Order: sequence, then C-alpha cells, then structure tokens
Amino acid sequence: MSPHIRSTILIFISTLAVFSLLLAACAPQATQPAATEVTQPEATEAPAPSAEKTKIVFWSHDFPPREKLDRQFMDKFMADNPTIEVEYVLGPGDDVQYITKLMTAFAGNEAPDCFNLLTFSSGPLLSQGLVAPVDPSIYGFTSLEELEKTYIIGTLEGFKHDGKLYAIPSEVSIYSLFANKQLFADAGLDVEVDYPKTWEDMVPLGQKMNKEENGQLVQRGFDFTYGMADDLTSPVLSFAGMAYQLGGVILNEDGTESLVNTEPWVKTFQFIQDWVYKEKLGNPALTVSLVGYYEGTVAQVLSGSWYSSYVKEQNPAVFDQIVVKPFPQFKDAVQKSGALMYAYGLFTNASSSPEEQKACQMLIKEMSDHPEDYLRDAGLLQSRVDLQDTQTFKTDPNLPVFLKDMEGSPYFPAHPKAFEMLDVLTRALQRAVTEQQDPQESLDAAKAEIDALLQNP
Amino acid sequence: MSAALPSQKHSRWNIYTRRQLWGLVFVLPVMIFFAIFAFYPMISAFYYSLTDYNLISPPVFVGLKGYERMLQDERFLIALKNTFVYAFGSTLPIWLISLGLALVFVRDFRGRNLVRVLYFAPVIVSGVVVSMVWRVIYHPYGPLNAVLGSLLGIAPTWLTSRSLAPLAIIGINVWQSVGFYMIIFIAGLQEIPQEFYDAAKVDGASPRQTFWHITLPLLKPTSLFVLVITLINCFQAFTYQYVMTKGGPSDATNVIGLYVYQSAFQYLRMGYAATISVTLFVIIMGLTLLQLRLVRTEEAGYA
Amino acid sequence: MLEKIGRGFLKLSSYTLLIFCGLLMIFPVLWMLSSSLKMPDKIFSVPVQLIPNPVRFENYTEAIELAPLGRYFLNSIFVGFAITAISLFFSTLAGFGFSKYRFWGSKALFIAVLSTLMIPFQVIMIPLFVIVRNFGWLNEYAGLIIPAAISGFGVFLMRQFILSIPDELLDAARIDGASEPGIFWYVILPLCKPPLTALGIFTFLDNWNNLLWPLIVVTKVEMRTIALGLTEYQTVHGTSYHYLMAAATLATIPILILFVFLQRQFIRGVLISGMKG
Repeated sequence: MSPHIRSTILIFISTLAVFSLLLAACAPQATQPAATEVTQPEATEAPAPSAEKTKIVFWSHDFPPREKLDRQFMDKFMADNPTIEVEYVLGPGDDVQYITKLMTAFAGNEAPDCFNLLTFSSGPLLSQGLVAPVDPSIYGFTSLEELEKTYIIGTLEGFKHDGKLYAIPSEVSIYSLFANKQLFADAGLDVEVDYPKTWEDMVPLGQKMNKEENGQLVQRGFDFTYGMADDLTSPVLSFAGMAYQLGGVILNEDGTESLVNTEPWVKTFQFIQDWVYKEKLGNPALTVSLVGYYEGTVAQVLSGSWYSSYVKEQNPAVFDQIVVKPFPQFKDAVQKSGALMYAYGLFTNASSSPEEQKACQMLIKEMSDHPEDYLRDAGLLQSRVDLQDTQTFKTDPNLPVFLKDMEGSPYFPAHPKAFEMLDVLTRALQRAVTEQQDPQESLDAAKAEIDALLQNP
Repeated sequence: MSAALPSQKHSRWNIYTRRQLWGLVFVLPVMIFFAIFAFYPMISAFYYSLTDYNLISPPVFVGLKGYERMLQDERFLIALKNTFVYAFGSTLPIWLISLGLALVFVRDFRGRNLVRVLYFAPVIVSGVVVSMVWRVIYHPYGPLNAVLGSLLGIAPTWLTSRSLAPLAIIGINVWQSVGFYMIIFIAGLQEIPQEFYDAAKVDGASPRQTFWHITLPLLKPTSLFVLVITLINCFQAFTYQYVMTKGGPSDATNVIGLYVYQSAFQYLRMGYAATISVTLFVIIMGLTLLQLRLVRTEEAGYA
Repeated sequence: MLEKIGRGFLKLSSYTLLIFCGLLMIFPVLWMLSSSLKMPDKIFSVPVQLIPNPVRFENYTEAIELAPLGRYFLNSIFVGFAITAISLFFSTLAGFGFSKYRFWGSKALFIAVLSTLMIPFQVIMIPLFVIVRNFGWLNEYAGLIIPAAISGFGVFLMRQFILSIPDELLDAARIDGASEPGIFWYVILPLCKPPLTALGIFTFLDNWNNLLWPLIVVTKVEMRTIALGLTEYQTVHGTSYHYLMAAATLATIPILILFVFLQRQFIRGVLISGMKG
C-alpha cells in the first residue's frame, strides 16, 4: 500500500473516530436506554437462580412520548413478575417502515411474541388466526362482555373478528377539529362562538381568515389533507366520515360490493373539490395543512389527540393556542359522525408457546392499565370508560371532544385489503383535487377498483 | 497439418488452457458468494412469483395467475410506462452531463479539487433527505418558482401536476447522479494511455478530432458501464417517488420499484410483487444484453 | 496580445460559470444545512430563507440526546470499511478473471453476475433474511457486512477497467516469469487506483445510506447504522424535521471529508506508457 493511501486513510479514520467520540460524548442521556437493557440481565440474576425465565419480545412502533411510558410500565411489570423477562424492540421510523420490519420478521419466523399494530394492517393476521384472542380471565373477568364493558362502546370494533377480541387498544384515534385561538382573534372572531358547526360554515370562515400577499396564499382558515407524501393523517378517514354523515358507506351489508360512488360520496367529493377550485380556499400543492398549522399559517386542521404533543415540540407558541372542536357536520346530515376511527392494538402472537402467550397477555394488561398516564404524557387515547373520571380528562377541555366525536363514528372496515382500499380512495381524491376530475367519474373508478379487490382477495 | 512435433503442440495447448483456468479460479469466490446470497434468493423470488404470499403465512402455489393478473392490471401498466419514462429520461442527461463534467474536471486547474466537491456533494446525501429538501424547492412559492416566475412568468405546481411531477423527479435523479458518474468517467479518461494523445498530436489532429476518434472510442468500456448501470438503477428506483409523492398524484409518478414495495409490504401481496419483479428483471436483462451487444468492447482492437 | 486576453477572458468566464453552476448544484445541500439550524416551525416556511434567523444549535444537541448517533456512526464506519475492503479485493479479482481470460462459461457467468443487479431488493430480502437468520447473523455485524460484501456493480466496474489495460503488459510480465496471481498483484492492482477509488467511494456511500436491509436485520439499538438512526426522527405521529436535518448533516460531513482527501488518489500514479516495441 503506497504511503500516500496509507496516510489518507489514517487521517480519515482519525477524523471520523474523533467525530464519533465527540458525538458519543455529547449524549449522556442516550446511554440510559442502553443501560436499562444492560441492567435487565443483572436484575434477573438477583432472584432465585433456579427459576426458568419466560422471555418475551415486545415490539412497538416509534413514538418517543409513548416509549418513556412503555419502559416505565415494563420495568414495573418485570419487577412484579420476576420470572418474566421482556425485551422491548422499537421499530424506528414511521408506520410503513415498522410494518415492513414486522412483516419481514413474520415471513422469516422471527416474529415477536407481542406487538403493537395498526388496525389497517392487522386484517390478515385476524382472519388467518395468527394472533391469539384476548383472555378475559387475565383481566379478572369471566367473560369477554365484561371486559368489553370497560371500554367505550364501539372502540373495540377494529380488533374483533368472528365475535372474538384479538387486541387491546394501545391508542384509539379519531380526527377532530384543531383550531388556533389566536388566528381566530386576529380575524375578529371568537373561536368558542364562531367555530364551524357545519361544513357549510367552514366556507365563510375560510374566506375571513385566508390572507393573500403578492398573489400567494400565506394564511389559510382551514385546509383538508390530500394524501400528499408528507401528510400525517389520511384524508380518507375524514372524507369517509363526511360521507357517512350523509349516509354513505364504503361497503354494502355483506361486504361484497363497494358503495363509494353513491350520492353522499359524490357530494362530499364535490365539496372538497369546490374548496380547492371554486372557493379557492385551499390547495394540495401548498404546504400540508398539518405542518401549516404548527407554523401558524393554517387556522384549522383535522387531526387526532396525539397531534398536540407534536405541535408542542415544533412550536410551543401555537401549542398554547390549541382549541379542539367537534368534527363539523354537513347541514343535511342524516346521522352524526366524526371521521372514521382507527387504532393501534397490542396483539399476541398465536405461534408463541403457551407460557409466552400468557406472559404477553399479562404484559398487555399492565400496559393498558394506565390510560391516564398515556393520555397526559403522550396524548394517546385508550378508550377506557374510566378514563372520563380521571383528573387529566376532567381538566383538559379538548380531550372530551375526541371521545364525543367517537360516539357513532364507525371504524374503517377491518378487511384484509383495508390498506389497498385506503389507497384507492386516496387516489380518487387526488384525481378530483389535482386534475379536477369529475367526482362521479373518480368515484366510479374507485368503486370498480374496490370491487375487484373484494372479488379477488 | 502443422509441422510442429506432436509433443510441442500438446504442451502448448496445455499451458494455454491452464492459464485460462486461472480466470475461473479468480472468479470462483465471487460466484460462490453470489450463489448463496444472490442466486438462491433470486430463485426464491422466481418461485414466489408463482404463488400467493402474504408474508405471514407460507406461500401458496397458484401458477401463472399472477402474470395473468399483471397483464390486466392498469396500475402496473401505468407504473411500467412511468418507469420507462423515468429511466430513459434520466439516463441520457446523466450520461451527457457527467461526461461533460468529467472532461472539465479531469485536467488540473486552480481550485479544481474544491470546485469538484461542489458537484460531488449531492451524491452523498441520503435519498430520503434529498427528497425532503427538494420538496421545498419545488413548492409553488419556493425558490425554483421564484426564479422561473421572474424569468418566464410561470410558477407551476410541480408535485401535484400529473405531467410535471415525473419531470421534477427526473430532475432530482439527474442532479444527484451526475457527480458520481463524473468520477467514473474521470477514472475512465485517465486509463487512456497518454501515448495515444501524443500520437494524435504528432499527426496534427485537432482537439475535436482527438475527442471523437481517440477519447470517445477508448472510453467505450466506461461509457457502456455508465449506461448499463444508470439504466438498471433507474428501472428499480423508488426512493424519490416514495418520499416526494408516494407515487402520486394518483399514480402519475408510480414506478415499478415503488409498486413492488407497496404490493409486498403494504398490500401484503408478496407473490404479486415477485411476479412484477420477475417481469422487470426480464425487461432489464433484455435491455442490458442489447446494450452489451451494441457496444462490443471485448473485441475492440486496442485491448 | 488581444488573443491572449480573449482566451483569458473565455477561461475566466467559463470558470465563473463553473463555480456558479457548482453553487447551484450544492444549493439543496446548503439548504439541508440551513434547515438543521432553523426553528422547527420555520423549516418549511416559504419564501425560503437560506440564513436561519434565529440560529438554533440545540437541534444538534437535542438530536444527539434523542439517539446515540455516535454509536450509529461507529457502526456505519466499521461496516462500511469492512464491506468496502472485501468488495474492492474480490471485485477486482473477479473483474480480472472475466476480462483477461477466456474460459468456458465466462460469458454466461458474467451475465449471471450482472443479473444480480436486475432484481429489486424488496423481493429478495425475505429469502436473504431467512438465510442470514439461519446463520445466526441477525443483530450481528456479520449480518450487516457479509450479504452486502460483494456486488455485481463492483465486478462489472473492475472488469470494464481492466479490459482497457493492454494485454501486452500482461504478456510482458509472463515472459518475465510472473505467475497469474502474481500478475494480478503486481501488475493489475497498482494500475487500478482510479477505478478502485471510485468503487471504494461508491461502495462505502451505498452502504452508508442503505436503509432497507439494516431495518430488517437489526432490532438492537446498539447495532443500528446511521441510516437507521435518521429514521428515529420520523415517528408514526409526525417527523421532527429539525433533528432529521441536523442528523443528516452530521451524516454527510465525514463522507465529504473522505472525498476531499481521496481526490488526490484520482491522479494516476506511475503512468505505464512507452511500450517499447
């Protein structure tokens, strides 16, 4: 090796080494999570050395506020149950990366014993019996009905199949209306009085709060989400909820045909399309509304309870102005509904050994026993009935709005092809708002695609 | 018959063949490696293409059903078209620009190294971050439109336009790729022995003639490499599309790589994803063989 | 005189143009750097401001607090070097074998090597995962290094370069009594500095930014690579772009330094010229 190359590589390595050590040194807290994982084996050596440990692996997706709580309750669980050892694996990244990782693990026979998973992705697991039903006895109940009674009605639907319950919610989400108190005041409005009760109300509000500068829309009173790549929420859950208000459902009674091209849907699409093209109050090309909201350039958005902590981190000034109001209804709605619900649930792998499954179910019980903590520290709603009696719930004016919106709102259908259906509808909306395609045409195409999915699973 | 003595002929053959077998020996480690880590998974993928496989249960053999479905799948056909547009739309500019940059940067001049870094820097950033950055650049009120607005008076909505979004992504691809292929071309230019240039100068050739008759032909192996690799990479690309538009608006920027990824891990149709991948494989293989044939380098006289 | 001035001016204006275009090229990278120093709510504000105001250095410190970036760096560096070293050696060896030898099946084998590049990773990653799992390499450096250690790209690149090394050089060495491996070591390798440098950079970079494979192979935090580390700032409920940009900037700097240093390697060492006869 020529001395030149040698010296180059040497310089490079030492630069990087110094660099990395600096980084590592700057992270005193970062070593703590490693520390808890290191101390675990030590802690388990303390009790009777003869005990056979049941080791379970628990996976969850990445959401820092929940991670702290998860670890706290896992540590407590392990202290209470010295024969059980829990390995906590956090899938880094967003939903798609987590699901990629989880499904690969399933395919490679490395699936965890228990895991957190989105309702959209759990369809196949439920229908193929790959997850174990929840055992009510672990919760001290003799029947499933008793267990279900502890949860707000309808919020467990996303996890049920054939009358059995397969997961306990780790968070239930619905989109309600986030408003910015300050921006309302700036426009001479009082958010408590002037918030939109109906979708039709939204139009004049938008006109009042939209601001243009040099032909650029610098402030919007409200904007939808349109399924753009950096959106945090799905537009489908919102517009499907709106359609449901007018009587529109995604699938027919026996799930053999899709009804997304019926009049309620067309009306909903028309409303959103008009928002973009006729009223010109919003546009998919602009900064996505959920980013605009925390920037302080969008006065109202539809989002879930978890959004508050995100806003707080990005812009505390806007966080102070958050007021949550109910999901607007159409003027001639035939039933009240919020956006469609979705949830994340804690599942148990049916392929694990009986001891492991039992340990998982016990762990899940522990983790679902602290709804107030998750609500207060992570903004996550675990729809337990007793949540409404807690201090946090009673003192926060925004939280009851989410729960109220959940009443009467359906889940997105728990179908093995739920994800694909979501995509079909997202694309239908995009055609309507980026190419101004006629809503009926767009929805007819969507219906055809969903029908094909139903016939050809 | 040859006048050589029988024993001489025999030993000549032996030495020659024995030497050629060394080639096999040199190639063997790589082939063994690929056998385990590439060919076996590829064969599995070929098998998956004949199954229904949702990852959580073992694959179920269904024969050619996936291929039938694919031929009638509109989303597949759109993605295929988009992929061709993306691949060919990127490859030509990348090839031309990186060659041009290499010609500029191969000779030394003041500050060359520093300026060259400017052109190489884009290559380093991860595709995910690049896409996020470019989303702001393509924003209707972003810097690109600011410039276009003042120069041409237009300010298109790049990422929500069915026709412009694919172009926008090609732009990013070209931007991030040229720096890298420039390096490859520079290395290729330096392989050309100086004596060829000296001979050309002695013969009185002009710079243009030298370029066309010496440089370019001698650059063929490198050119071929850049072409083949760029095309292969473009055909499978999906990071930009995934992060910038998720294939939207409504499949306008959906490409095969993205469709495969979504089919496999979101729709849980790994069998179908494999079917599409096999089809893609055949297409890429065909194109590559075509290129190898058109640019016959192993028989070039100079080697 | 005028001609000289004219030429000088042409040189100067093309030089300026070159720098101007270079600045345009690097603008997005600069924007990434600038975003890493912005307040979170100002990152996407338009019209774009290149100079952050106020400057927020805490993006960096907080990003490091949230994730042990130093450890991820070390992992990526170690894995990257290992893969690069293995790849450089075997790719050159195989490239030599393919380009300078004619043995039965060499064409077919070469096409087979190329074919490994033509299938999307997404569909081979499951069988590959199973193989790696069976070897017990999950969450091990071996699992990160070995499956990626050799690539068809490297073999192809080296083959093309070695093709243009004159056969006479090899024959001359044989006449001098060199063995075939000796030719590889003493003749071919030294001549391959430019392509080896290019391949080294490419291989290292490719691994540096590789996300999909580490995502599925690693479940232990301490085994994560820097690419995985970046995804820690993308959560299911929103991305913290300010931390992401800070970490991404940190991830970019070392490679830039590497490149600046390695640029000198592009200058061909001893030029083998002057074939006598």
